[in-house]
Amino acid sequence: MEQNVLNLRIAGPAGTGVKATGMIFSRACMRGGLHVFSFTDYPSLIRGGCNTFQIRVEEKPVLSSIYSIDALIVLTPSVIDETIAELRPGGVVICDEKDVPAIKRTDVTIIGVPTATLLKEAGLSLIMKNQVFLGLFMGLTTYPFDLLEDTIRYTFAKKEDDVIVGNIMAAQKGYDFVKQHNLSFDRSLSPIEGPAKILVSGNEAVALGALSAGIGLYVAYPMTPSTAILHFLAKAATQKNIVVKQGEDEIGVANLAIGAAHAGARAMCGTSGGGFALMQEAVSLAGITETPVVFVEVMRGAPATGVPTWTEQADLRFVMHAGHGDFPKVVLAPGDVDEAYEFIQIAFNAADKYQCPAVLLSDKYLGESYFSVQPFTTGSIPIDRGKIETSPAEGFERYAVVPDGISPRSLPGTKNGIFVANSDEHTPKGYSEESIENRNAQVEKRGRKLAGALDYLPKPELFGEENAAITIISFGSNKGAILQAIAFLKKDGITANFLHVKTLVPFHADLVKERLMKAKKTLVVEQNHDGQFRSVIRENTLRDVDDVLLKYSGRQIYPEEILAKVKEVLQ
Amino acid sequence: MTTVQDLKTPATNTWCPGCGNFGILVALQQAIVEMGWEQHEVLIVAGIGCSGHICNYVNTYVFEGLHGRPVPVAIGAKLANPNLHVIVMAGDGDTYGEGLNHFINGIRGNHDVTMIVHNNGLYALTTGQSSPASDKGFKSPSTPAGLIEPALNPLALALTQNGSFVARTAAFDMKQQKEVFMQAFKHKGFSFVEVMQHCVTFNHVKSLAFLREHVKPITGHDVKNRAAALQLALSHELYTGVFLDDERRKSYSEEIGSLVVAGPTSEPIQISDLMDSMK
Repeated sequence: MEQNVLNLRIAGPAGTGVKATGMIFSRACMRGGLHVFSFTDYPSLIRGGCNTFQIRVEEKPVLSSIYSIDALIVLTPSVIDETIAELRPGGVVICDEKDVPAIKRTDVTIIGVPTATLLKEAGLSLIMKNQVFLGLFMGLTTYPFDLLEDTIRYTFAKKEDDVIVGNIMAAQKGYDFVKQHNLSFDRSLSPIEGPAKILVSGNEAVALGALSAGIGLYVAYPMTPSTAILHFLAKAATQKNIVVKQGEDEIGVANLAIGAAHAGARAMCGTSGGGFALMQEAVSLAGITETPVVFVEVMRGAPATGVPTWTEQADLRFVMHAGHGDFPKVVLAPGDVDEAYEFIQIAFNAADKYQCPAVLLSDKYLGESYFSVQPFTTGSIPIDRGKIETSPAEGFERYAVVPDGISPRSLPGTKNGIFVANSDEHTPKGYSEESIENRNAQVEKRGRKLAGALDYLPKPELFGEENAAITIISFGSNKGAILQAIAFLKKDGITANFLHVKTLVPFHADLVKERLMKAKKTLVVEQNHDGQFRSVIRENTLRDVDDVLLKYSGRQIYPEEILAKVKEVLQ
Repeated sequence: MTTVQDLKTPATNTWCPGCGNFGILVALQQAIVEMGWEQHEVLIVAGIGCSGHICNYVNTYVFEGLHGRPVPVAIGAKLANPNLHVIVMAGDGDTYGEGLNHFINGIRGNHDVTMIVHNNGLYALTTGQSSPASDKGFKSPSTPAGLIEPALNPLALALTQNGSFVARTAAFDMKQQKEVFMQAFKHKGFSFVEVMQHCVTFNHVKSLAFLREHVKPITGHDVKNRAAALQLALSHELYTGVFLDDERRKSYSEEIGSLVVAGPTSEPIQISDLMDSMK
């Protein structure tokens, strides 16, 4: 019997409450002091297919999902074949009694639940089926029912009483079924003491971080998997007095954000790869007009429409080189929700400090996965609006050629601050001007702006032992899986460490190079086909790594895959 | 008080001698002065093309953005600081070609900005290709055998998409232009003004002489009557004046529940209450 170590998958067609059920389970565990990590996989459709929501529970913060699942709740028989392979031998399947014959595995325990009968007994509708399964699973793990009840009340707080009571009764029916039929399972869950936590996704962390950074305007065109940022901020807009707008297309969105930023608001727009492709000319416009604007790019499987609801990191090079022409920009890649919350605040500061576009590069796996973490602190990163001239002297020059390249800007409405923000090359005042002397001076001025940025922006962080047998180098959402793999490797007597690169543009080339030189073996882990991050390292450090683990199926990298690759490299 | 002199800039003008843009520039400067606006409270957002060069010649805040994209920049600026007087100056290629989606959605949203379209019926800065405002049969370097598509009807488009202010004027008519601009500035909501502009270098069909001969000032028309306005817009006559000025529809800023007035400082927005639903 293992306690508080569990990996549960809930599977069903779209529209059957897979995620809602998974969220109640996740929350019930978290409210009992446990840590959870939950992720969702779903095809691009509204009804049918196979959606899954997978929750890993531990007593310590859960780093990532793992391949093998202990228990599977299936809501309809149609999804069984697609989802049962990862169930470990000895694991348990919970399904309706009618669906039992559809399960071909003989090495697992199958619990067929007479849901129709149970719900009928309680006078409840069949749509409460999910709560029966959930209650049953909680009973199976011997987790206290009152924590589940409490979570159901919390989840349905805005619903009518009979909905709340009905859901609780349905869950109770499932919970009692375990005792009535003497069912048992080799995993149990039990509440522990711990600080209060929140269950938050990467997208929500970005939205919260943007608020914390004092955002004034958010604009977006719906695009999976970034849309949750739009939903979250739209809901909060009136109460928080910010403008949140859905634009007519991504070109309009990016230009609208630039207009708002030009007028002085902290402005952000969010999208995924295809939408960001449409924004390219605007990124370049922010570059030459030196407008501080923040972009969030939540990557999904590309090219074109690709695999739109799955994860990938193949927009890396595209984002690093966003926009035509030479101009400074900042690209940050958070690895988890805490970093997402922090880095978006840093992105706003960087955009203002260096008067340039800043991009937060996330992906579907981070954006739509839920982590249990301590609540965030409002304003955890002090706001820095950079050089804004509030009382310019007569003759003020917005694009004055200054030593650090960062000329003080004035906001429209400021007396004596008049200038032209010009997409044409321009004089210090902003007038169109193409002379060789002026062109060179302005290009070089802009080119100097990031000179001090490497000190301000998040530096690569080393996790694990200094003298490990192998150094893994990666970025973004691979962080959790790599840390989990390192923990697994340790059990096998293999030491590995991990260099987590947080800032992609500009690049901490010296720090990465120093680590490469110290490493005994080096392995890059990234989710694309071409090895884009490996080539970024190579061009910046003039050194190559020993090997690379690539994945581009749309599914996230699992710790087990990293573990196997490390063993292969070390052989 | 801002004077016309204040609104001039030292930049060298690069428009062709006799260009219709000169008339638009002067009428714009006069209208701003007569509105009594301070020059630093005005933000002109320009597109790209000969019209966009106006960015260099008006001494107010100016944002010269991308070809086709001035409307969203203007909307963003107005949403961030409603105290600004925001004016879009764009060309027919800008507005009806590259940026048609933004134009229609600016009208749909009824954002409180004024859009002045310099319509010379072609792409002048790229040496005279046909534009969506060129008539069917128009011969140009890109359509040597004559343009196949008929011209877009921007006024009818604006009127059928719930536009709240729709007007047309001519670049040579200083008096009417200034009056129409001022009426547009005073209008709460998206005010769209098309200026028929002659291009002395490339448009030998809709020349200054042609426009002088064909424009027909509207008389005896109720500017709140959309159906009558649409009839005028669909007519083969080149009517000028205000077709529609109707504030019964609220502007976007009046509809939206948030009021942001951006400034040089920002404060963190409290998030603890939002995290209550995440526990």
